[in-house]
Amino acid sequence: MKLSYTAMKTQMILILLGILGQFSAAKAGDSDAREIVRKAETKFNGEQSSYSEMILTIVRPAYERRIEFKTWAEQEGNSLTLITAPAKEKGQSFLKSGNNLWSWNPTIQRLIKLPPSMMAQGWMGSDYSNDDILRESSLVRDFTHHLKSEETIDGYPCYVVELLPLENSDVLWGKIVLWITKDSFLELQSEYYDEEGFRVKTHRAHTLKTFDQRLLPSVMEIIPADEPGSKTLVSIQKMQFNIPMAPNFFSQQNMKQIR
Amino acid sequence: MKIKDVLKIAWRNLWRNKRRTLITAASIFFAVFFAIFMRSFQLGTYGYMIEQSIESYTGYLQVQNPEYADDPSIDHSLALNPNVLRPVREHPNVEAVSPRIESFALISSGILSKGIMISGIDPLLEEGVSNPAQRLVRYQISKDAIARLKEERNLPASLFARLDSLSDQVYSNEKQLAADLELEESSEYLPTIQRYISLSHRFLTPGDSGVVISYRLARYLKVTAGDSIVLMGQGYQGISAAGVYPVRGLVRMASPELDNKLVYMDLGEARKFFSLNDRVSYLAINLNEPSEMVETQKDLQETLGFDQLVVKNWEEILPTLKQQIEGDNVSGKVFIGILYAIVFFGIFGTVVMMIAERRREFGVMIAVGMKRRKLSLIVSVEMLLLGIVGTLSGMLASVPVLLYGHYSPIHLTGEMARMYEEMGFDPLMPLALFEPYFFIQGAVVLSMILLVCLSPVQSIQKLDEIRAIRG
Amino acid sequence: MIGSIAWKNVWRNRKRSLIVIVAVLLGTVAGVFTAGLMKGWIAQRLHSVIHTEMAHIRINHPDYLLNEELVFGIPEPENLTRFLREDPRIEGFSGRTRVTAMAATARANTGIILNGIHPEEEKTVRNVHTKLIGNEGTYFDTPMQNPIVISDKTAEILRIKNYEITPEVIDSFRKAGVPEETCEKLSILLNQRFSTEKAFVKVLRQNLAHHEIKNFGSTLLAQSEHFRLRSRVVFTFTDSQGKLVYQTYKVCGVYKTNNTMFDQMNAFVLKEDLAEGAGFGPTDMHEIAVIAKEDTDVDALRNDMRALFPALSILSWKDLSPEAAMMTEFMDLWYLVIMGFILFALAFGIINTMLMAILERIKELGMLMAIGMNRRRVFRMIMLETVFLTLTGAVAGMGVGAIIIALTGKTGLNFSSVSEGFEAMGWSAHIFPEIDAGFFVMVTLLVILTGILSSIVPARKALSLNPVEAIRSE
Repeated sequence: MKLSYTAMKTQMILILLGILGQFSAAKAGDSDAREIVRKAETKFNGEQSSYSEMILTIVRPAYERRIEFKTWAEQEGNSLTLITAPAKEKGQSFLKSGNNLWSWNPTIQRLIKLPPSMMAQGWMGSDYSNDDILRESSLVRDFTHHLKSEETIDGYPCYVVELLPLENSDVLWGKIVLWITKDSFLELQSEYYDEEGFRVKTHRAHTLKTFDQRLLPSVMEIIPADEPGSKTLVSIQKMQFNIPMAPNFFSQQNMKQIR
Repeated sequence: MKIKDVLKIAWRNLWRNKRRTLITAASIFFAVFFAIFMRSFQLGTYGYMIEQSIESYTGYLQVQNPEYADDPSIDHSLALNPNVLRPVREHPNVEAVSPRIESFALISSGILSKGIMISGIDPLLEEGVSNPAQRLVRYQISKDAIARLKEERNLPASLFARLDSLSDQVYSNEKQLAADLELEESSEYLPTIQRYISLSHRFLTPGDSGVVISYRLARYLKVTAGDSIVLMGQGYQGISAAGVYPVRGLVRMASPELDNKLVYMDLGEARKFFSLNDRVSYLAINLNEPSEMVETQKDLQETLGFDQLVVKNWEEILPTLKQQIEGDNVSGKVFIGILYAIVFFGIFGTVVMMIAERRREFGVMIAVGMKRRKLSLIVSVEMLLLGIVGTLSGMLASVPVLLYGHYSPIHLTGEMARMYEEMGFDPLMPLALFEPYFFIQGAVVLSMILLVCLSPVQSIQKLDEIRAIRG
Repeated sequence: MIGSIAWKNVWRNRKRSLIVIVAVLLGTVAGVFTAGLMKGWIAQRLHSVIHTEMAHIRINHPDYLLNEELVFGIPEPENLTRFLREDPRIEGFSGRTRVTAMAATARANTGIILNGIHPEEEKTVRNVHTKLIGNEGTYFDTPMQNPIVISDKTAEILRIKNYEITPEVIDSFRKAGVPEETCEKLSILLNQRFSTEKAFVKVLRQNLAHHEIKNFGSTLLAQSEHFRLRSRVVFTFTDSQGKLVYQTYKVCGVYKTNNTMFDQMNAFVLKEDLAEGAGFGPTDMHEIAVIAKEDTDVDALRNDMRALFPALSILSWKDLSPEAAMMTEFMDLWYLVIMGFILFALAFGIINTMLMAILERIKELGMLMAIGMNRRRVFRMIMLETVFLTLTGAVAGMGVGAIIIALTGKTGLNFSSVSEGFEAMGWSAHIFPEIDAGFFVMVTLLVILTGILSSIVPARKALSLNPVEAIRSE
């Protein structure tokens, strides 16, 4: 899932430690801002693959739901997710391959390709939409970047970068603001604004932990701006990188078999 | 002077000039009769349209979760327990209650998938409200069936031509079938044809694990009774919903919009699908006396309390329909108003002429000693009597017409009939029966007459009797 | 000669005749106005059906109509387009591609049909370009990438339409006649944005008095309406290969017709832009809409086209919208019925008047018959008198009615209190009455008929007189 790549990055310790020094004395320039974002986005590009176990919590004024799942992802963008809990949802799997999102439901033994009309819906009822999962809009490629200031979040000094979409990109947002740690180029917070300049949602990443020798925020929150009492949390229980993957792993067959 | 005498004189005066009396009375009669007839026609048609649209889908009242009106999602459902259902059922004005679950989902068959609306219903209870079973597709003039019918010896060739032109058409009942085939319903050919084109479809039974889907949807998915389809979506509080269901039959909906996306499911099955436990989207209610809708609404709201549930009437649920009817109603009233204005003028004219004609007579009466006031009274009573006779006779004459039109309404034919049936209504134009409008018309006419009386009264007051006698 | 006698007789009792004439005048005005209103209303609906929604004729691949699948484009369109260009009966035609898509903005999403068009071609067939609202929108005239024209309703759903009170807006309030104290009250709402009409109206209600809302409510709404042009809307759809595609369009104009259903479903983009996104070829199209020249027999044109292109589905607006077709047919019947009833009501008064006139002149009539005027002449005289009486009122009434229709025809009558209901069905709530000469001809004929029929009773009365007794009567 995309979640693995854009929100959690690990510094390739050796290489970047060196460059870090130069960045701390950064001048406020757009090319630097772009570099910052690029680093944050490509943090895990070196990794061939990843495996993670996460818990999704959907918080609503009237109720709360927990969903546990496993995800396998690879560099090209394909990913396979398997729901492991609760019992009612267990066994469903989702495949992101090429430009499509597929869903397998063991109860009905059917494989379905999600149509455009379902793209805006939240995945499993959360605030993270099918569209968010599927689309590959690049924070580097589709925007212009401006370094606004520096702020500290949770004790970590961050660059505050403002992103404005390019004319021709297929981006919904009018503006995105990112808080990226100066140390390890982790995206700790982002705010999404519509074209009128009103904030629509906020993402927060915190509780940094080490997974497979990489430092990552273990909890991510998606908080819609106009809905008090509603948010979505994802917490990483386990994560491994560069695990071996069978050649036809990301296939429809595998969706049905994966355990 | 006694009333009886006034009446006698007035009555005699009227008959002295038979022609004028008769013509004026006739014009009043006509006005009242026509006004009643037209109003009855209008109100009858609106009443009918409301009945048909509302009774056949929305229901006069609905019990909903207070948030449902603004956001009809499945999360804004209501818990259906006996405390809710019983008082509603027991209310004397409630004719039928049907709990419903309505929400969107994805239907899939093979590689085709589409967004649709699931309507979870209790097949027995729903019969009393929208009665979807009547729209079940029962006959299809398939190419296969035509081919086999052609082998039947005793069918005329003209019938084959008709069948060919109707290839692939579907029907819900014999009436439509017969109409299109241009046969009488009692025709001997009909049963033979029916045998070949009958479909083994059926509607849902209580607790049915299958679904009934709309016709155009079925054609898109290329499924028919006996095939299975997959439904997927989000249920209560976002829980995934998925299931495989056999198709029991197809229904033909009037609006093509709806015909493209409707799936009927048993209420229990829908609850399972959406993980709703004992909840439903809303209760649809039909009434015995639609005219008492607002009182019933108040009653039910009080019984059910004000925080958990809200009772809405069709005007609040379908404000556009209400506006359409209002608009129509207003134009109807305007037209009647015009009619009355014309009649008023006619009566006024008659009265003016009458005064002119009887100047001499009035002059004599006054000269001989009759008080002006008494004369005015007599003349006014004359007019009133005329008005009463005209109005009453108009009302009486309309009674048989209304009775007939109400209990055995005009049947539309041809294109109009088709249109009605497409919408799912019977092609009828019933007349309204005895509602307030009936008496209002009479009252209006009488008040017009009173108004008209002012003229002779005034004339008499100002009359110069000497001049009048001399003529 | 009988004519001039009859005419003079009418005026012998001025007061009495005038009463009848005025009554007939009023009745005729009422009838003419009602008919004009209905005719205008229906004409508008029809105009809308043809020039906004369906055009005169629509051509599709026969399988396209079932579920609008993208693969069923019009096959080999070159012959067809050549025919359409050359046939003298055709005013214009427009070939379109159509894709059902999900439109999304940061805040909302909805289903939409994207119509890929050639603006110049489309203008000959559809009048959407005349229905733009807002000050800066254009119909594909603003240079921008991937422009789209959406409806007011869509803009509202997608939250592109907002209500905002800026200092400029308050100025425009003042110009529109909103009083200073109201503007003062509204200044506390400066620079707040409301994304739904409901929310805005709620706030207005909280801050303004009831009468202020009643008098200026619609002005406030209209002036505060704000469409952010170049807003981006991202569309998701499956292309002709079944692949999921994203394409962004920017709003270049907002339109509003009086058919909310049409508005809600339709958005317009350039054919080449849609072709790029959906993978269509340059000559692919899903439908062709044709507008014929005025007074063309559309049915004949359709039949000719069907004969020439049997493989295509060719439907006229009557086929596509049978209710609209029926309305026009019913109309003529309705006028007849309305006028008929009015005249019937008036007939009583006319008969009464004429009878009185006859009775007054018994002596004179007796004399005329005694000196040799034959019965037929007497009958004709009375009949003519009745007809003249009635016709005078009717002609005056038609004159007044025509003036009223001419006046209201320009300004139109507004039924906005019930507008939502009508617009949901595609009917205008702002009606421009109109009437044609044929109607007046019909009225005249009906009036003459009424006159003749009304004259029967009095004429028979006259003819039944015995001339000798008549002369002697008082």
